Amino acid sequence: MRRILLLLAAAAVALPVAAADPTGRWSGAAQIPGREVPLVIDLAKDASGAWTGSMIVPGYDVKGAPLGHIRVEGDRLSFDAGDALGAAPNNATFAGTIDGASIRGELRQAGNAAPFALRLAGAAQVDPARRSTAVARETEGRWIGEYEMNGYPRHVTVDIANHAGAPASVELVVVGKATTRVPVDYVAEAEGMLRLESSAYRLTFEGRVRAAEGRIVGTLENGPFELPLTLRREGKSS
Amino acid sequence: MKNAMLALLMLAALPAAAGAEAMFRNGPAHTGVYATEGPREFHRVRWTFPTGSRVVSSPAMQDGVLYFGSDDGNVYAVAASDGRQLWKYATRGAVASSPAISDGTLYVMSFDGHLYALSAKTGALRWKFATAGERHFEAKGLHGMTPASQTYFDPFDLFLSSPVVADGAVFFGSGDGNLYALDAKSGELKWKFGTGDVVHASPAYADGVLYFGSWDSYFYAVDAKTGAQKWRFHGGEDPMMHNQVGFQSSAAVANGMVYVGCRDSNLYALDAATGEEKWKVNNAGSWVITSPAVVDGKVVFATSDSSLFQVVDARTGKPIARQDARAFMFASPAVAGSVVYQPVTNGTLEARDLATGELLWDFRTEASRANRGWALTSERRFDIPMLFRRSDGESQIVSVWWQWGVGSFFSSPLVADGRIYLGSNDGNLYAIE
Repeated sequence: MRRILLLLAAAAVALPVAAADPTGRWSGAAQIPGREVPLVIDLAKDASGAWTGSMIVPGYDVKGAPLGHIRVEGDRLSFDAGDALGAAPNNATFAGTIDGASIRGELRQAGNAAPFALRLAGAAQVDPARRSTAVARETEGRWIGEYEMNGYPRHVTVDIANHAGAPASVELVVVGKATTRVPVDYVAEAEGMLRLESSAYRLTFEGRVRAAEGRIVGTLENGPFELPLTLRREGKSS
Repeated sequence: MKNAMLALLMLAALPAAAGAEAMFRNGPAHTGVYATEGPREFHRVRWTFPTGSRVVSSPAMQDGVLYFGSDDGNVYAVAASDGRQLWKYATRGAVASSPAISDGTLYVMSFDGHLYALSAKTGALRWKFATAGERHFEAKGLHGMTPASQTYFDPFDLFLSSPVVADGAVFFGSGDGNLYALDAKSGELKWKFGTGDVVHASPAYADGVLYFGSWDSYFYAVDAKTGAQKWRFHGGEDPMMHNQVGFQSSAAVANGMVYVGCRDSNLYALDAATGEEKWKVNNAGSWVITSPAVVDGKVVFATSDSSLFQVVDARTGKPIARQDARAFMFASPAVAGSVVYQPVTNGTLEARDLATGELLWDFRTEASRANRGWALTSERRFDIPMLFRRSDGESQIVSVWWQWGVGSFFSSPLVADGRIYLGSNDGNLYAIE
């Protein structure tokens, strides 16, 4: 009997603790002082076996925000909400304990901390991450244009290039009083409509590619401003 | 048996939720009638689809896909069977308009002041049209808010105009006071018709004529081809508080009559050809924001403060049924067979018998049941003394937002395949069966 007990004790020490599986849709709330923040968290493993997730915060205009740094160790779970509820270092981070069909833990944001509780609410519906695409062959190359903001003219140069098996890359330079290289982190073309986005500059260009005319006719959105912007093929007069 | 056959034939004649076109109130005439028998018993919530903000938009459905907007700025396409997201498209403002889908293109308004045309299949942008800009209805001393010399936006002006598609054109109203007609394929402006104030009602279309109201308190009939005015009808005025003024309700057109609610507390029945008032039902100070449903010689509508669900004779306006729903109703009723689905701002969806108005069943959102801050009394009426303590504008507007925190329903139900689909202020689109 003593031997059996010893064997059981040895097995308990030697065997790794099975990790809890947080796959699914988790619904609940964080209790910040004076207010309940509703939360919907989706967690799943992708094809490579890595954790992926997204978050919905009804009332905060957050739908499908990608989760970052998802870690599952035993029954402990942690992740961050990217910049959905504030940019680093004030971004939201979650750490909790999985207990069957519930997760309890702490939300931290901007130096504050609040408890959260989630219940398993169904299958995971992770919002697919938006991915840049290649562009049509006629869209590649250098485009130039001008717009005016606050009374100052701005000159725009856009270089678009496709790469085999990868999304197109874009270099966007705006020359006004200063020269600004705007990092473009999203480029896509569908049905002849080109969209470029810079999350760092809150800048979006969306325009219809009129290849035969050598023009892309669209609008530039920068924060609250929206301005008409027609890009011309370099060397082509307006 | 003969009756059953006739009933089936009648259902076949009604527009269905699936088909070549789908739009607000299930068709261009906006009758709010669905060619299906809706559930007479509540079984369960089949699924919920959470978004990042309230869902004021009413869903439209085509080929098993639900399309709707959220005030989180996104337009969504969701599988009706299981609530799976198929795509989303981000605009730069609240999408408090209901989409219209025609020939594979979805049209919807955003509070960023654009009408968007998207591929219904992929969500890809086809074109967008910039109006002169969106805004809420506003007035000095609105609803008695103090100080009276201050201009306030109207927190009850929740809806954007929902586009209607007909004859190769898309028609919609705007906060800039215009009704627009655009070429449905290219987005080119065909014409615009100016009114004196915000147009957030959705135009109804019948026989080449558009019918819509404006916050200038006129109701208009406009030729859809040319934009020329055919007639206009003057609703009530309220120069002191601007409370009893303007058309927020979208009209329904049936059998040569136009039925529309007004903030002057009347439901009007107008001759579609002349604009002559045939009858009206006065609701003693209660707004009629709901868009009426019209079916089998009956008009179904509901009121705000008096909280009455009503069925009246379409020819005479005489009452057929009247029931106390206990809280304001801004969302429009939907009729499916013998059942009317009426959403209420206390977070309840009511299913009522069309013939009698009797309650068959109801469903409450979790937020309504939680009743945070006692926004509701135990009878599900708004707890006014707990909500509205002061008359200054800021407090009133904050109180209204607190009031809607019970998962209020503003979205009009869509009924198809034995299910009811509608959005809530709690951010969810619900599929109920």
